[in-house]
Amino acid sequence: MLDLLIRFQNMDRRWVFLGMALAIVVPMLVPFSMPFKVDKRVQDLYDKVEALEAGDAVYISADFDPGSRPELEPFYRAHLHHLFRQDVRIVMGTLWATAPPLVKPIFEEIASEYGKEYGKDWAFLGYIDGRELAIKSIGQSVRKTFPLDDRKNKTSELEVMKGLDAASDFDILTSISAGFPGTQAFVLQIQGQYNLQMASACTAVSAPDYIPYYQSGQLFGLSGGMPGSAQYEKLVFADWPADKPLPRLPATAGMNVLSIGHMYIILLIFLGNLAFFLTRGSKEV
Amino acid sequence: MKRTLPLIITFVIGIIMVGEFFIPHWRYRALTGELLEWGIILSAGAFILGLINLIQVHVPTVVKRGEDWGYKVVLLGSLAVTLVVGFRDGTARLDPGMEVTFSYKWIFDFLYIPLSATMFALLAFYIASAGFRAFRARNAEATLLLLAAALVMFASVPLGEGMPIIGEYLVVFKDWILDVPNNAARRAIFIGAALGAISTGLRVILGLERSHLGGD
Amino acid sequence: MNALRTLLALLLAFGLSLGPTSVAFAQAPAQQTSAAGNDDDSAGDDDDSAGDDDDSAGDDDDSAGDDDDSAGDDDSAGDDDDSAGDDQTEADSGTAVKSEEWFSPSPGYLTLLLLILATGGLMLYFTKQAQQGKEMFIRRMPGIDAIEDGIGRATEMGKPVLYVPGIDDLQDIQTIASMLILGQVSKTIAEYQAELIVSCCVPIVREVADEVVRAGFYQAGYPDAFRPEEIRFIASDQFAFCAGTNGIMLREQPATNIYLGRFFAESLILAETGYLNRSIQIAGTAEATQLPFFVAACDYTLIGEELFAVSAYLSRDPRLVSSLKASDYIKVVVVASLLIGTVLTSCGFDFFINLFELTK
Repeated sequence: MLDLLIRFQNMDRRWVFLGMALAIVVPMLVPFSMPFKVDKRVQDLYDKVEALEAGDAVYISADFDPGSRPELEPFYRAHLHHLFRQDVRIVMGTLWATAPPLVKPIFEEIASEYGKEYGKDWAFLGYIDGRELAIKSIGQSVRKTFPLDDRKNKTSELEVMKGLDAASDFDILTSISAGFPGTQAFVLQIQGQYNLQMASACTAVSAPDYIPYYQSGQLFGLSGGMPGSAQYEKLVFADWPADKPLPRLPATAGMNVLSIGHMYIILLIFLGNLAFFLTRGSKEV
Repeated sequence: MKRTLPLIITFVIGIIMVGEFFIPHWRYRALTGELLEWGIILSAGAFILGLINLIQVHVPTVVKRGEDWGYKVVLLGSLAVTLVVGFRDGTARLDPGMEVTFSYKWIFDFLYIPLSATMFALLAFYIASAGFRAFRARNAEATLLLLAAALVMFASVPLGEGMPIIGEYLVVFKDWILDVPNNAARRAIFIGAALGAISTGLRVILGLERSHLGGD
Repeated sequence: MNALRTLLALLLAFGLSLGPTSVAFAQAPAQQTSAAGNDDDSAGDDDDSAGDDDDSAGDDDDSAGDDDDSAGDDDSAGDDDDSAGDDQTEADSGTAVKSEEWFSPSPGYLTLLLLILATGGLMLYFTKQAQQGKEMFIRRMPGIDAIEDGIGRATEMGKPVLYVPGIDDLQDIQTIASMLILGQVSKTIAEYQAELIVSCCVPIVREVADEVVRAGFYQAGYPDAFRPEEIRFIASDQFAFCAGTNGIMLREQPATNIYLGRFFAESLILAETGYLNRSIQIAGTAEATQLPFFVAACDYTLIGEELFAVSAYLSRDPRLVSSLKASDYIKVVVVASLLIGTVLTSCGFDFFINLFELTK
């Protein structure tokens, strides 16, 4: 028994990897659903967007890459549905070079679902390099930062940009951020200076970092990782019309995989500690 | 002059940009807006530098048939193909349907996305192995760390939230851990790091720090 | 005497921040009302300035001189509403309310400015003290001593030391701190006659690392031992860099890995691969999200500002030590402010925390 426990503690990590793989793949193949609650941080984000009126304007900075797609793309999709449903003007830019191929097709797809017109109801300004410099510049003037949009139109001549230039002209700024530059850079560089109404959707690993910003009021809402995206999906699609097919909700589906994955890690830690305590006196460990 | 000029430029631009936060006058903001634009352009120029550097580093190894020269051929070849295809496709490179044939979008959708996602997905496995190895209750602090980690992990997912009787309390406790001790520690780290950043930044702006210029 | 000097320094820093704010307070209401009505459409720049919209640099329009004053945006001086997006103020071409104020009236700006000036002042004061030969204590950090031990281990094993200065650009403070430390580390490595590999994610960082390491070897008296091919630019992409660096670890089997700088998701991948290699690993970052991974996977971790302190500790350079002392004193001011603010606010007195308010 002691020998087994020692071997367990020192086992080849590939067994751990195999277990993890099974913990992820099996729930995908055998889906099941479990209810979950909505955090106050996500609820606040939803409520603020819900309170927007037709004609209000939102700037979205969509800054994620293929690695963080599972966590952030569901939020991004749900957010677009939410905003278009409110008849809000949406202007989007990105600070990550890998983002445009991911965000642009989805933006076009959802805009066309709602019959929204490019240039009048929404605009994609494309990618800008410069990181904090770009953010600072966005704070001063979105038009100057993006003189042309993704389709080579002059940003200042777009109807959707009517009355909008500085970041503070927008009712809300949403940062969908997988890292840097992202939410933290926006908060540090321009949120306080221009007193922006900012929300953030971030990866789970960053969420604890941004909770202080939420608590201090620098962010009015925060969606953290896949759980946050799933909760936001739940709120946005709660009253989906019965006659329209419900869009796929990847974060909601992913919550079950997350559950099993987390349980696997917890079980591993528990068994590892059990083995550790039981073999503590042994010299072979 | 080689070292003095960069120091002067750093000082002047640094002071102007620090002032941007404090001075809202439109004339000053116009000046800083211009400087920001210059900065963005320079930043974009760094891509060219990266490209040149990549070629400078890898081509000699290929020419001399140095170590792993085959991989460097793959690297340089991929670079060239992506560049050429990107320029060829131009502004239509992200249009729907472009991925049907070999194009920039094809490369991105079928090569870059899977590769990038794979690397990121490694984290799931490494977290499991690191957690298994590192989370041992060797002492009081380690035990606290492990209990907090397990609790937050468990209460963050529907399985934990939905536990009969204790699920609700687990969520409350998880929220407390995130909202109170986590915030306290994060804020302390932020403040310390920010002060360190202020002093390092001031050192650079005031020219007290010159190591980044090379030599001393 | 030390306690008295400490107290004086504290009072100096604190008094500076308290004094003039009362003046700012008096002025603030008047400035709020006067700023509210400014209403120009300055932001409608419709000429083209150089700017890439997608990831292709260098676009079709290239006149960099847009002479529009789109920067005239103001919020802090008395926005009568506190939400962004006052599109009702402008009919047409952007809002860009032109502020005529040369200083934001909110007291928080003044407090911040005084804090920065106090930091600079204290830094200059301590620099002078250090240059006059005054000894300044820095506490021992185990991770720093581990660096030298790690270099010794690498020498004995005949394997290289791998140094990763993070993945961020040179303008980031953590990268600058990492370059400072690299100078000292390279000097030590040269003295031990060990090998050094530096793996860089940004081309400019690679160039600076090259200069820094060359200088380190020169200072140690071994200029010929420097090999520029060991200062490597891997890739600009985060995970491509991570894969490349992992490849270096698995092929070249460094005995010691030093991760000092700004890291993101690749931190755990790097650290776990290094663990697989049985390398001694020393990490340091101010990126709070990555600290847990480094703590779990590395032998020594420098947390937050310890990264900035390491360069001072290793070099004992008066300039570096003095800035460390200055930031320590300001930290005392900050902590005192937190405590005082907490007590006063709990007792119902808001005037103190209003000193830090950025918008009014």
